[in-house]
Amino acid sequence: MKRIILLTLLCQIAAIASAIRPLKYHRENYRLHDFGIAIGAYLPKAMENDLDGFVMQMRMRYLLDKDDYYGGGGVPGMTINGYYLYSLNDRISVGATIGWNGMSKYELERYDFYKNSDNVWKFKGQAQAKINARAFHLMPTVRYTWFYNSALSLYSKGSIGVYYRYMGFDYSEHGQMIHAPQEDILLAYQVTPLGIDFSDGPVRYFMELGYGAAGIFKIGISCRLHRKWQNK
Amino acid sequence: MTCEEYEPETVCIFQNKSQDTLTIVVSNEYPDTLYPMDPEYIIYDLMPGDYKGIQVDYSDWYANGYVLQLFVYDASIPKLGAYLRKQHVEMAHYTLTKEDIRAMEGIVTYPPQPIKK
Repeated sequence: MKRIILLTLLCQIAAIASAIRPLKYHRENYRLHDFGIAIGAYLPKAMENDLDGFVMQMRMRYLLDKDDYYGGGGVPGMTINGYYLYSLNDRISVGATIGWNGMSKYELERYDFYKNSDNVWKFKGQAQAKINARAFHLMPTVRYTWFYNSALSLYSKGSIGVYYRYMGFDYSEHGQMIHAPQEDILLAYQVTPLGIDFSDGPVRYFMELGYGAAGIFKIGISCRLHRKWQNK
Repeated sequence: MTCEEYEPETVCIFQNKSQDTLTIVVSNEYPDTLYPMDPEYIIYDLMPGDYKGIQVDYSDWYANGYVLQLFVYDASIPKLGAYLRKQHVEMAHYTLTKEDIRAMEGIVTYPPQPIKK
């Protein structure tokens, strides 16, 4: 039984190996322009925590109550990003990743009352505030392809760059308006130990598992422009 | 990996021995002794003579130096919110350690009574 399993495995390995058609090294062959767009999910918690910290800071300062709501700012924990990579050879590609992070929006409010001379509570006024957050990242990227054939490639990627975050605070109290935005430029990174890219042709599909500003799980579509394909 | 969930446990009974209808705000934000930014929960309309169990998460209760805070308001207060941090209109404010609750045999009363230690 063990021999049958071993033989089956060997046959499968041989079949996979025969399917691999490594490209011969020639600079013209690897001059690939690879660009794609992806949706990422599960952003590192620290990004949302920073926003929560800002919300708490504003709540403490202006004595506001929080009323979470989801608006047109995107789904928290999601990211949309695009990339461009230029293949230096059959293994290494360099380029950049640009992306937008979906972040929560918050609405804050306060209702003020006072006790009049008859010891009865009276409404004094309302204060309202909105916090809108936006975040973008731009990261130079290096990709190393460690397995490829005509239909499938497996790769790892690393990116490091900048992360721009805008948190806007708009506050109104009895006709008084305050606009106090906070802008930060932070270090952004993305480490992708495993990426799978498949399809036989210039339009390809890919999935990535990693960690960083672009999300833990990414799925997308890419286009590889190759001299060979361009000439078709 | 397992995710531990802690069930809230009744750690004391709050008894309204006054003639007022009360609202009680439970806070786990000690050492911040002002009205909580995020109240643990609120007991509305505790009638004269009535009582209610105060529940705390096990994880909080067994933490070192846990302090339970109760803010007692007249039930006619129009809206509870963070602005009460500035107003200080509470009728009573309890800051209770586990030892205090044991000394009171688990019964917290309003109007407040001195703790016998």
